[in-house]
Amino acid sequence: MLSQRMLDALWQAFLDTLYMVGVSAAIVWFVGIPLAIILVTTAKGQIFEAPLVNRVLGSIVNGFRATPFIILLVALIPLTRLITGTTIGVWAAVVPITVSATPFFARIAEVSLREVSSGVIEAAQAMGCQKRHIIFNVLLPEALPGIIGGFTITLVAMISASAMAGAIGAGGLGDLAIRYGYQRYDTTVMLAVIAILIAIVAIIQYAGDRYVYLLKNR
Amino acid sequence: MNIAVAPYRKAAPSGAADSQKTSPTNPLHLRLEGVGKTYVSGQRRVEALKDINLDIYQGEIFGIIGRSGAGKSSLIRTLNRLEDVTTGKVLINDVDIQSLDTNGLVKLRRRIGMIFQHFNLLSSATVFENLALPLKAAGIRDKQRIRQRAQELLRLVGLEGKEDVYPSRLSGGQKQRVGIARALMLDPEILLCDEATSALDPETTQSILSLIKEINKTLKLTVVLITHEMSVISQICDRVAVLEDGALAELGPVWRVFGRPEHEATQALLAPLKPKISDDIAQAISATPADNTSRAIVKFFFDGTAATYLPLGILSQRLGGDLRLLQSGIGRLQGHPQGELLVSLPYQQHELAQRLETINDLVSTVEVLGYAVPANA
Ligand SMILES: Nc1ncnc2c1ncn2[C@@H]1O[C@H](COP(=O)(O)OP(=O)(O)OP(=O)(O)O)[C@@H](O)[C@H]1O
Ligand SMILES: [Mg+2]
Repeated sequence: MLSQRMLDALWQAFLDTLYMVGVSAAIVWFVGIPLAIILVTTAKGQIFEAPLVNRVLGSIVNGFRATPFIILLVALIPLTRLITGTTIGVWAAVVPITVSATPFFARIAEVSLREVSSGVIEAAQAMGCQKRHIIFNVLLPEALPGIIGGFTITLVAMISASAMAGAIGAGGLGDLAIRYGYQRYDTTVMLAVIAILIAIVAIIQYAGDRYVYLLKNR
Repeated sequence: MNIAVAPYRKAAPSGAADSQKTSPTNPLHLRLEGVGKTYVSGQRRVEALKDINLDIYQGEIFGIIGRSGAGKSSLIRTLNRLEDVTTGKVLINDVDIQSLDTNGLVKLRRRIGMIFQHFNLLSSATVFENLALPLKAAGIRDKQRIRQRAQELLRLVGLEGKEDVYPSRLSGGQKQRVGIARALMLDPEILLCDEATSALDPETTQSILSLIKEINKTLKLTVVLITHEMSVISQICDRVAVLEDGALAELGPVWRVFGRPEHEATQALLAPLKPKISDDIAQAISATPADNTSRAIVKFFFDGTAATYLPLGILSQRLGGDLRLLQSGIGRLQGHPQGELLVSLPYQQHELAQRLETINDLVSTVEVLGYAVPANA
């Protein structure tokens, strides 16, 4: 059985993970969606057609997506220090998690935005909508189910990334699992951590799917 | 089956001179001057429109037909600048719309409603939110006013009480009604319809057409509509343009274009509507009369230019009285009776041609198809 001390540690790690993922998620959402909108609207034939911007931004996004997280984690240490003033702890993990998850989410959101029927966009143009109306009243609402679905996937990926960030001493559940499970062969703690991670992922996935279902079936 | 080569065929002069009389008297609304549109995608260039000259008058319902790929959508889309013309000009109320800046274009589009084959409603928004969008985009914030206007239009299109329903819960016909209501929210002066009834069943098509006709009358809208259904044109359009391969092939009042199609493309489009001679008669026809009791099988064609009615008594009298009606397909288009009559009359050598000459003023075309024995015709 787990001691009271272990339970406290698990609870603290759980809160750290939520904190880490929560803060990152907020940043990923608010940076990823504008990024996706820029990627979609600057493409050929779209409302802000700008092939150069599109290509440069697309390449940057691809570059980050192609780099394995574990390498980002190390490579971003100078940036992390610059922004947070430290390279360990919850806040330090937010930087690499955000940098890795934002391009991922932006691409998924981009696909949903691109799938908004061109007919609907055209109808909006024909009724005299300006570009900002098209973005906020047509593109975003129409793509919302897909964006939410993509954000759910991103959240799950971020939880797994947060566990990995434990390897560089970021705190949270991953850190706990590595310190006790891997380094001290305490299988109970490791199993407890895995159980908690499974529960978090299941809840997020269920909530996401449910929301998408409601959006699509109204 | 072998139908005789017509030994006698006479056509009355076509109604070209008469187009002056029927051209609309309303003020000019839209004018296309030498409009051309070329799409360039990579190496490929498609000349979708070639030197189109066209006037559309206030309050008319103007139809555009043509084969698939003829350029109909391209043409209608130049009217609200969803496509920019490559050459030529589009004038609306005498203003060259190419000269408008972004702001001017947005204002222009608010005066032009458009409805689509696939309705193009926002699936993420309720009927009310769909209707509210054009007003919101026009900067109208007054919730009360928006709701009132939406209710007004839902009443007009027969969808009262559907404000809070999502489009996925509506039938195709209902969706198109929402589309129409949305197009009318800003009280436009022009309504563009690109195959607005193509996705609907015949009954729903009828109801949507009546609705378009009704709003054309009550709101005094100019309507430009594209369709693949010739019946749509004959039912509600005043004039029709036929596009073929990007060029204007034919243009005129519907009754004239449909009654006497001159261009091959128009004839091909209308071919399915042409009555076929029924098989038993076609089989009974032979190229030469068997003997003196044979009857001549004659087709009279009325293109609608001759009169507002067909004087059957006089027709029969001039032809000697013994006229048998075999088949008829006379309809009425914009007050002009038109179609074909298939009749038989006694064949008497030398006299047939002379007799048929006497009805030139009543009939547009006379064609002797052949001869049959009296028992058959
Ligand atoms: N955006 C585009 N880019 C390139 N070519 C185009 C584009 N839109 C239309 N075309 C081409 O222009 C021609 C006319 O197309 P348009 O859509 O105007 O025809 P249509 O008469 O409306 O046909 P349909 O009856 O099938 O709707 C076609 O050859 C089409 O392939
Ligand atoms: Mg078309």
